Amino acid sequence: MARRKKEDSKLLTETELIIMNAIWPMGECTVHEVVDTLDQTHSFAYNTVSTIMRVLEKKSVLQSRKEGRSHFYSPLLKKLDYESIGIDHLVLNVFDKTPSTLVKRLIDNKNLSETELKEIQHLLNQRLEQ
Amino acid sequence: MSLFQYFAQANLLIVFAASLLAIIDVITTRPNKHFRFLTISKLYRVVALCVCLMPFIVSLVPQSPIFAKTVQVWSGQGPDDFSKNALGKPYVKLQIPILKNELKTDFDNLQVLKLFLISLSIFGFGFMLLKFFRDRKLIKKIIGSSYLIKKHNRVEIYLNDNLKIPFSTYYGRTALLFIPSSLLSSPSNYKMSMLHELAHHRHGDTIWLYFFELLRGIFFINPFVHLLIANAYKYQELACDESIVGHRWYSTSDYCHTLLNVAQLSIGVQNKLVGTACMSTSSSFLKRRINMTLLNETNLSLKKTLPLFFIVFSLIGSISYAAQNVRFDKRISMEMGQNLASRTQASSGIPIVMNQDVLKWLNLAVGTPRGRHYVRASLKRKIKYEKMIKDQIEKFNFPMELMAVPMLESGYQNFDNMTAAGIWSFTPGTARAFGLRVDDEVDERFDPKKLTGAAMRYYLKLQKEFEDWHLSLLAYNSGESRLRRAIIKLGSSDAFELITKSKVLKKENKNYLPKAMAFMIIYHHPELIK
Repeated sequence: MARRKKEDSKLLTETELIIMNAIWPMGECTVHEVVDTLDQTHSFAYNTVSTIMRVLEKKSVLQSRKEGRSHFYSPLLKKLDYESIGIDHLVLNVFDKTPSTLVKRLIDNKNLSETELKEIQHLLNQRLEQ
Repeated sequence: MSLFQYFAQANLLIVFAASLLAIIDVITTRPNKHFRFLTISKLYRVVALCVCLMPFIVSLVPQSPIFAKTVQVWSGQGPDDFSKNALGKPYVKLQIPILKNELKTDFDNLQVLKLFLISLSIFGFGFMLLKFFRDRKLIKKIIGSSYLIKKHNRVEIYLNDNLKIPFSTYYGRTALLFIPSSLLSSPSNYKMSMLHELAHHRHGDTIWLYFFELLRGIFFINPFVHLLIANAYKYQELACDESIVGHRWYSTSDYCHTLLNVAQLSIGVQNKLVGTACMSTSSSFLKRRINMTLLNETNLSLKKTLPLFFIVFSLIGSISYAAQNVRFDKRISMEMGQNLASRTQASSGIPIVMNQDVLKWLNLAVGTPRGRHYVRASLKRKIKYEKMIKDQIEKFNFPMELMAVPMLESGYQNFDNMTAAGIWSFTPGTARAFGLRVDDEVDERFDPKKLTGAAMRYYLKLQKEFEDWHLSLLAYNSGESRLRRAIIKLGSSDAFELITKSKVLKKENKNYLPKAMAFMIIYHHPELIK
């Protein structure tokens, strides 16, 4: 039986992340809307999406309210919060708890354009001034 | 039937059953035609049950001589027929030389081996039990970290982020299904794996798993039990594949895709949990599964499968029946022999001697299948004459151990061979000398009462002359004149010295006394052949 090493439970699975990425821009939505949005990129069945969203609700990532026969879901976990959870996880597990290594690796990346680098510099200066 | 005997028989059956089913496995691997996998899967279950129950069932069936002596653990040559000397034929020469101390060491080694096997089995069972409880705890933990996504009556489907492979188990009277959430990304994988695991529950595999694991625990030291169970699990998987692929609603290629996907996911995965059915398989088996699913093979009808069932059961039944005759080593060590002799001595009127020769005969009588058969039959026949002979012995005030003499003379068979006849094996000459009528018309040797009277008078005469029961017994076999000559020639009247050193006595005579001692011990301890 497969059991991965216990990791941060707050991190979403691949499929969950796909669905959350669809939900975050929409805010409150129904399963149908999510399926329609995902239809262009992925071929998820209605039941699958519904199942995942119910699981996400149990994980307190989504919250729902019932209106008539349909459920409306809205994200409880904000995208920004999840981004920082992701970074924390990355720093903790990949970069030996040293955020500077992460930044170094990011800056060394050749894919970064000059404008992006300037923006990073600007953000750093802003943070230091605070 | 003792527990150890049951254990040994069941082990033997497992070896046989596993081999037989492995042969069937090879046959069914042939393409084009095969039995329904569900049928074979059921066959495995019934065979496993049979292996456990057959030794019990067969022990209830009366023994028949057809199967006697088929299998024996220790096959020391029997004493042949103890009445061979009555038939006038020489004793069969022993082919197994019994060296000094050999018996003792053999016995000790066997005891050690038995103890070793038992402790190893207990250890194996404990190990399996430990593993089982550890895995139960693990499943509980998995349930804790899973999300219930569907519940229908007693079926619960869980989604788990940490799992890699779908699996199913029967836990707390509920059929549980665990689907890794990674499978959700592909709807067909998700659906097919769920169908597969549900098929396990529907076929009852998850309940039978417990039985198989129990079997594995009990017969842990038998490698064949592992083979049997591994094959049983294989057929459970194949039966599930078959039930889904055979269904017109589901796509075969989707199913194969799922199989491949799960196989890929299972790389580097820990061992399977005890009591769970999971989809992953070895690569060679995976190939077979996919072959099976893609090739539109024709299944043999149930009617054609029935002979298979019949053959397997009749073979297992007969093997089990034959295994009834497995004799366990009942050899007696010198130490035990001396103990027996001293206990016999306490209630015996004839001095009981224990030495290597006596022990040899005692072991041939109680430690070999033929010997045991002979002794058992003699004791059974003895019952008929017991009262009459006892009365006669009491009349002469002789020791009761003389009851053992007809056992080695004739096995209490009132029969004639050309030289001697009757239960006391009298030659015509001796019979006439003691007042019996032996001629063409009448042979009074076949009257057990008259013959016993003659035997008693003969012993009276011998006792008057030799005044020693050992010498009397020896003379009864060799004749007084030969014994007298032997005593004069050797210059000793010690019976055991005579049989070791005398050149006058025949080999047959020399064997007689140790044999008589052995039978006297058996007479006092009939439990030896139980």
